[in-house]
Amino acid sequence: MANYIVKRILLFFPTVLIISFVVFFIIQLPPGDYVNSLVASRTAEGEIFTEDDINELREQYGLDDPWYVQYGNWVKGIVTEGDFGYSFSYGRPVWSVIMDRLSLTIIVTFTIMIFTYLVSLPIGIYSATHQYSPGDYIATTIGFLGMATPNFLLAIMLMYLSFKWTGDPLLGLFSTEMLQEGVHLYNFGEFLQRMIIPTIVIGTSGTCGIIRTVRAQMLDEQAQQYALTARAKGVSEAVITYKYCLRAALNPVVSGMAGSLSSLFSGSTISAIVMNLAIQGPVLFESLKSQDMYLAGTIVLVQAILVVIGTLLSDIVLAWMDPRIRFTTERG
Amino acid sequence: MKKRVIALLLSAVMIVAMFSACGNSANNTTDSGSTNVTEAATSTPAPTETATAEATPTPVPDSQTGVDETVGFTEAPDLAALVETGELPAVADRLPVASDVMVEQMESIGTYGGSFSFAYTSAGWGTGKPIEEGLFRFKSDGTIEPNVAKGYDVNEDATVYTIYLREGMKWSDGVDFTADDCVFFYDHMCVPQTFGKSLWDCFKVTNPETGEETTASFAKVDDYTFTVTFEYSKPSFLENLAINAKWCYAPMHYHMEILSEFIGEEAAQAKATEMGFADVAAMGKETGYYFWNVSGVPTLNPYVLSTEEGKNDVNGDYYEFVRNPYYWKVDADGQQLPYVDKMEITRISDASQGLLYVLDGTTTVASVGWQDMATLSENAESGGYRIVEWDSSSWSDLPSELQLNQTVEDEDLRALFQNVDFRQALSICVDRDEYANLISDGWSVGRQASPAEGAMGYSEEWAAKWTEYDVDGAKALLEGCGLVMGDDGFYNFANGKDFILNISAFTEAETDDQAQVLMKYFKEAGINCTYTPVSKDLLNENLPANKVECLLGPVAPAETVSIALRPDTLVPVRNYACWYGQVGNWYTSGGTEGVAPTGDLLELCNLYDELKATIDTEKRNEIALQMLQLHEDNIWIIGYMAPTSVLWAIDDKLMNFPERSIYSDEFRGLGIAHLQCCYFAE
Repeated sequence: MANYIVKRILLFFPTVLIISFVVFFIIQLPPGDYVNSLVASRTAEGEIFTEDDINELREQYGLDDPWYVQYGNWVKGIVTEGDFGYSFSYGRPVWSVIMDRLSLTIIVTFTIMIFTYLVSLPIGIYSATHQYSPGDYIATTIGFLGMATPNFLLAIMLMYLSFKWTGDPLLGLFSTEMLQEGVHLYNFGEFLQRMIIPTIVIGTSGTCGIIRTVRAQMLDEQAQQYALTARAKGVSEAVITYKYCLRAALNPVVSGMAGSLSSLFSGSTISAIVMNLAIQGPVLFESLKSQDMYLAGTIVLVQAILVVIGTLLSDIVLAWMDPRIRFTTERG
Repeated sequence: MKKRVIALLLSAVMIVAMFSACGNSANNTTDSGSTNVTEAATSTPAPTETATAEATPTPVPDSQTGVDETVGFTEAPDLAALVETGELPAVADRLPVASDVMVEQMESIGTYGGSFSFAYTSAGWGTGKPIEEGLFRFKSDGTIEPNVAKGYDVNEDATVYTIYLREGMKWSDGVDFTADDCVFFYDHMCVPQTFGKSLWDCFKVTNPETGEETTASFAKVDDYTFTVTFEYSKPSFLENLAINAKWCYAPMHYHMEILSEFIGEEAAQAKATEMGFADVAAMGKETGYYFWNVSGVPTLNPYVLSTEEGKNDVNGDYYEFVRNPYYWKVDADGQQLPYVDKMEITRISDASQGLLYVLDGTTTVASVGWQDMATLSENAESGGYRIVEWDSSSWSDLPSELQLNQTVEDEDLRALFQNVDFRQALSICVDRDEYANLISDGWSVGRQASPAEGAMGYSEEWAAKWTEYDVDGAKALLEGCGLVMGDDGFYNFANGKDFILNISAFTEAETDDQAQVLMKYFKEAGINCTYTPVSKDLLNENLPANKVECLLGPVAPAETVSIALRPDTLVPVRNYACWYGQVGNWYTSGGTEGVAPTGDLLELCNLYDELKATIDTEKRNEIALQMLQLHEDNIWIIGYMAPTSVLWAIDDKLMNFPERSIYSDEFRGLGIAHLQCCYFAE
């Protein structure tokens, strides 16, 4: 086991290096650079730029170097000084831009994850143990609908209903008062109220996915020989379901958690834009659009690192949970 | 007006019925109908006698300078409270001396309180223009009036401008605002390019004989007077200044403590790091140019960015501009402006959320599009807003603007595009009535691209030129251009080569609907065409590389109050617009690069050179009109529809917001509404 973990950790560094290279390469692929998009948007607002102004901007941002030189400098900065560079559009160090929204992103995503598991596991188990019952049909219908509906569309629908009924589309996680005064105990209730739509919207597809997975896995496990044997021996249904079948059925759910760390960091993107949530996803989207490459590069890099770490962790958890996996890895 | 708005809303409901997704304009800075730019802005100030420091400033038409000593000044309650506790000096000590204070003229005298609420996707000029205070400012008739400056004098040959400032005027931090601040701006910020802008044209003048360019020099006369001297005549200096340099002053006391010129390279770098900027250049640009978006920079604006944590970051989700306690304008009753306490700005991640904030009554002033008119009118009562319609200075609906690159690489295409008959064919082969109905749902009418009604050079004939729908006439013209009808029903070049009109566009301009309809007409006339929208970035690469043959959309958006003042979009002064292509390069490089123009295009460049060197106002107007005549003769920019109005959703309680005005960059967009004079009715 220890051997396995060490090997995985050693593999981690070249993986991340390759990822960072690919990320940087892809970000600079589209024609133009940040200066192009800056000039385009400012020109649209009436500002005038001469060729000299544009060249000077490019020089200021270091965009006149070839991309591999820029990449080299970026990696050097990260390794030697822990400096992830400057965000062009924010005019601030990349890391401070990321930290700005990190805590809120983690809070939102974590809440949504808890919601997802709290809702999906019981429903999945219920559906499996009560296969073809009315309850199963309802859960299945909702599950399919939820998986098929794009999150952002659901967001728009819920915002519309909220606007129709209450006159407030509940844009963003904070009301103007909260933005002015900050979130305190007295307005925490309102904050929670504003969490409802995002939680439902972003949590739905995950929830429905897990319901489907758990249901299918549970049905599989319940038909296995060991479940039959246990039942024949007179073990209670609850023990069979929760101690044996569920444990085995959770495998895909746990390996699905590998991406959780990364999504904790970035949150969702399109739905967050639609609902004006101040989390990391929209920042990444904007930075990719405007070719704010150090910001985009850093976010994607951190995401990639978290995916690698997340996979490692979920593998370890799986090995701990499932003896079959543990033994194969130990032998191999 | 109210009746008009109601009628407008009603007709909107009727026409649009169910709000259809068909047809949309790239932005809502477009407009139609009657424009009331009464006169061209070329009206340069009549030169008075040679400037002396004693001379009386020219009269101020709209606003007034100075109030009677007996008028007592009053202030907003929150400021009065600060005076009470001794945190602020008394209001009379914060304002300029009574004889120099600026008195805004407005419809009704207001009361203090309330806040403006805005929603922006990013803080650029959107927050800057509405609160910008130029040395001189434009009025909606296209003339300028003193603003930060008290007045000016100019000598007979327009080489020396004497500009007077207001005595006792102060920066938002209470430090005196003097002539030093203006001279400092020019000598230490513009000339050394402290904020990364090459010296603006308004400070340059060309030797009429040699064509050599020289720059202005600024000199302080006394604390409240300075002169701007040119080697040769610069008759349009003040208007150009109002367009190029806008404010033309900088807080010397502030910048002397951060710029490397004064504190050394190392200390400046340390300052930059402390303030969170990447380097000295970024600090110079942000504090010097986009200063209103940097917390702590003294300004003369009615509102200054908050210094409070959580409200002072324009990249954050929320920020505030609060009342400048030293603002130097009052109303006729001596109440210090602005009336409204602050501007609250919420960041949105998508422009459409701005509409939601209008509907739920959050925003005070927001630009809206006619596409949303049905929704807007439905919720007007519950949202508590009204719609105000402004004119625009655009030549046509921007996504309906077709430009043919006069210097396109392909020789056959170039000859064709330069043929005025071909442009006429492209113009008359479109049924503009049907087009306007399809694209704007009746919000606009067919028209040729031409100056807005009332603007310099407007004529009915031009607006109607080549607008009569005539497919057969178009075909005859095409054949006259040497095109031959092929077997496929489309015209080919006489040498047998396929002729295809490749129309480019950029996605942000949302020209898809326009392109579909236009291509239908073009194909009916036998012109085979393609349409490729690309990202603006890619277009910005392709344009200077001369890779764009034909463009649909606003690059550059043909827009004028006066061609003489802002020639960028209508004269090949830089490598920028599609229609003149490489001629822009030719002009800016002095003939060493790009493609040399011929015929009328050359004439246009020559006229512009002549204009720059002409002092006499009448003569200048004449030249400007000649330049416009060339545009009318050639229709280099083909327009298919008049611009739609600029629409604002305004809080019902907001008073003194102009019901009728013009939206134009020269007038600083929303800035001409003079937000400092607006107030909320009880």
